[in-house]
Amino acid sequence: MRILVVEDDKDVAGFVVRGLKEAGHVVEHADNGRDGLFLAASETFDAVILDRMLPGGIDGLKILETLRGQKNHVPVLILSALAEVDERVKGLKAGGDDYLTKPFAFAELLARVEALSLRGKSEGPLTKLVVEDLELDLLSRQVKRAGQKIDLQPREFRLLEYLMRHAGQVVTRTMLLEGVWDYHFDPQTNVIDVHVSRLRQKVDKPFPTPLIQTVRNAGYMLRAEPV
Amino acid sequence: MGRVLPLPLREGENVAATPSPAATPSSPTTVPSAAPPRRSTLFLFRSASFRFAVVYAVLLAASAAALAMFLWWSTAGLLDRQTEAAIHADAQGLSERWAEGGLPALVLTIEDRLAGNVDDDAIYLLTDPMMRRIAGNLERWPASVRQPAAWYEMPVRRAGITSLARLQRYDLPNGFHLLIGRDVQVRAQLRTLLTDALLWALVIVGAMATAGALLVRSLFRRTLANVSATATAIAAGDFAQRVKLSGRGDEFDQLAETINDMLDRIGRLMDGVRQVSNAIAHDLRTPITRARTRLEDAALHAHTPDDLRAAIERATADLDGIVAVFQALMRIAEIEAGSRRSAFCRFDLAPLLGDVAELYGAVAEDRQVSLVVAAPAQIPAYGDRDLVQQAIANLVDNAVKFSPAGGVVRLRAMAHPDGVEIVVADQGPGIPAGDRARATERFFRGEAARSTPGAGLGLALVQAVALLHQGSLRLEDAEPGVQATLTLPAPDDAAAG
Amino acid sequence: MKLPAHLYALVAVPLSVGLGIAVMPSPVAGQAMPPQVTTDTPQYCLQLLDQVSEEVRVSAHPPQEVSNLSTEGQRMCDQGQTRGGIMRLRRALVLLRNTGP
Repeated sequence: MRILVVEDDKDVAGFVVRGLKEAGHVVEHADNGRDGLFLAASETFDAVILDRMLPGGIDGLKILETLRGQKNHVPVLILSALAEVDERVKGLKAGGDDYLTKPFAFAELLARVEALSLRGKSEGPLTKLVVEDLELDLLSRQVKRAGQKIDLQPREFRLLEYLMRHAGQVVTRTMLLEGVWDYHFDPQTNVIDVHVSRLRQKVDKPFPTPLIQTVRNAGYMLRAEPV
Repeated sequence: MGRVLPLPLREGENVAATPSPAATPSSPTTVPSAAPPRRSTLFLFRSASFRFAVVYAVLLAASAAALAMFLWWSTAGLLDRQTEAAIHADAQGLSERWAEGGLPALVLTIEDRLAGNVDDDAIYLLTDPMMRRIAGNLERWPASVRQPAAWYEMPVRRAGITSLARLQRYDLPNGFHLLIGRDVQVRAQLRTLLTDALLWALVIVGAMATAGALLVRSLFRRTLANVSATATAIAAGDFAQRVKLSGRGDEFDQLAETINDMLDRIGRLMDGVRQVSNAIAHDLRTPITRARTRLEDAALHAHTPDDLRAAIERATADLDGIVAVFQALMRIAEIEAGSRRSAFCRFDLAPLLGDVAELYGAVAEDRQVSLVVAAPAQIPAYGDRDLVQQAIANLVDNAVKFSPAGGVVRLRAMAHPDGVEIVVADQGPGIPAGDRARATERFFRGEAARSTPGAGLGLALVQAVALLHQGSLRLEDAEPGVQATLTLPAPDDAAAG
Repeated sequence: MKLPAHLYALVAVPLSVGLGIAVMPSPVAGQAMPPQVTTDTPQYCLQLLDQVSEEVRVSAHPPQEVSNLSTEGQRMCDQGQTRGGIMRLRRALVLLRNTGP
């Protein structure tokens, strides 16, 4: 992916840019608002990581509003130390697609940025999700693996659906809480892990190849090859 | 305004820094310093009680003066007007007679009228152009009566006594002069009497106004003294002071209640900040120390890159734990600041309970704890949906965490006309009665909880959410275990739907 | 306690207004003796008495009251209560005129 990082803090920016490059993405960096806006408006990116507090008179939200005003719908992930819900809502209302508060784990940032790429490409309504030999039918709400039917509770179905939609990408526990349970807080206990392990019992255990991989310090990923 | 409330800074005090360094700080609200009242006239004019008193006095005096003037006009004035009307009528009649019958008729009429003047108050004088008396009962033409159509008041002698007469001059076309008047001595006396009485009345009113003004002023100040004394005491540092209520339930009492509520709230917020400061000093020092120790240890003793990596990862986890605690604290502070109240709306509590139960159901199963939910199909509630969800999740999390294997956690919800009740009961070790009051303090961890993971913020958050919704959190002994009841009142306009 | 200037003014204003009203703008007679009213004399009393008698004589049915009044009036005038006597005689005249011939 071509990613633009607009962040003025040298350490954070260096860390993020390096990490993204190592993950195989092409990264551009701007350390102030004016340059960031210029770059975002004049070049095409697959995603933009935008800090809110920027020097140069133009802050992150203003950049975002300008881009959206220009009908530029590039996926934007807002990075901010302002963690209050009102600020979050403000950021998303201004046109952001996701909001991550500092301090953050790089794995979370990476997972969410890569998930953003999905937003740009919606190929119309899907009726079926397929990963390897795992099939999930969205219309009949049925799951089959290697031809065998798997019985899932409604929430387990949604969990599997989320993993399959993000197949091959890191899915963090926070993303699962938000996406599957609509829960916006950190529960401090490993509720997600318990749910995922139950899902594994049903989807992976009876079969030779495990599909649900654990990504250390990050979350989970659905794919055949272990991480 | 989602940050920790900036509090009045006193010399030497540092308020715990907020984690949003780039945000512009709002100006700190300063408690007004109550300066001792200076006994100068300048202050007197600025004093509100003085102004009230002056307004009272002026109103009273002005009303009294207006009343007095009206009384004077309607009595003494009336008397004068009656006299003048009578004289005019007389003149009218006499002129008609003169027109009819000339001079002789006029003379006869004058004598007739004098003869029939039972009231003994008529004065007539008819003179020729030389001012020589022709008819009437005045001995000579008074020299001062020169202008016609003007009113003259002058003394006349009557049987040895001096009396007062009101006269008007009429000039006849043939050069003769006619003087018509009335004896107004009695009326003049009455008028003087009335004027004197009213003036004295005004003087008395003036005195009463002054006395009343002083009384109003002292009443005013006495009522306010209570409030200002409390404010002074608080500004001096005695925060336990509250404004006394008079018990009458009037506007001043309402003001006092509002001020007391505000002081209570400030007290709670200050306590919260103090708690946080203490907690940061004590409870967070441990994980910070641990992380630091591990890193230092790794720097000194780790031999392999793997060892180093492991040490770094553990330290990162420790720091993440600390960050999570800070975020929870921020959240509690944000809730307590009350800004989320504007986002309240109506929502159904039932699916929310189902979600939470389902989320923690897996964890419960893992620990061989059964989670039982009993709730009606629809529970209308009012408030912040996300916060209520988190509060219930915290309660359920606690219950499951502290339940023994084989235990039961009950999650119940009941809808009442005046609100909603959510009850979470576990069968764990419970909270000793002595600790129950402190359980909702930040970072409080009972003895039984020391070994379980958690920072002790869960109940503090539930309490904050309860208070934001103007509801309550009750912790009771479930024998065994804890029963937590979260009450959310319905909005005031519940009937309106 | 020292009263502020304002309250003094409050009392002074109506007082002076009142005094102003009391002092009427009336031209006082400059002469030494005020003019005399000529209908307060014993002569006028006699004049009225004559008039009453004349009218009684002419009238057809003089009321009884008239005779009482004129007698009393005459008596008062003789005793020096001139104004009182004159008033009674006037009343008698008015009564006579009102009943009329």
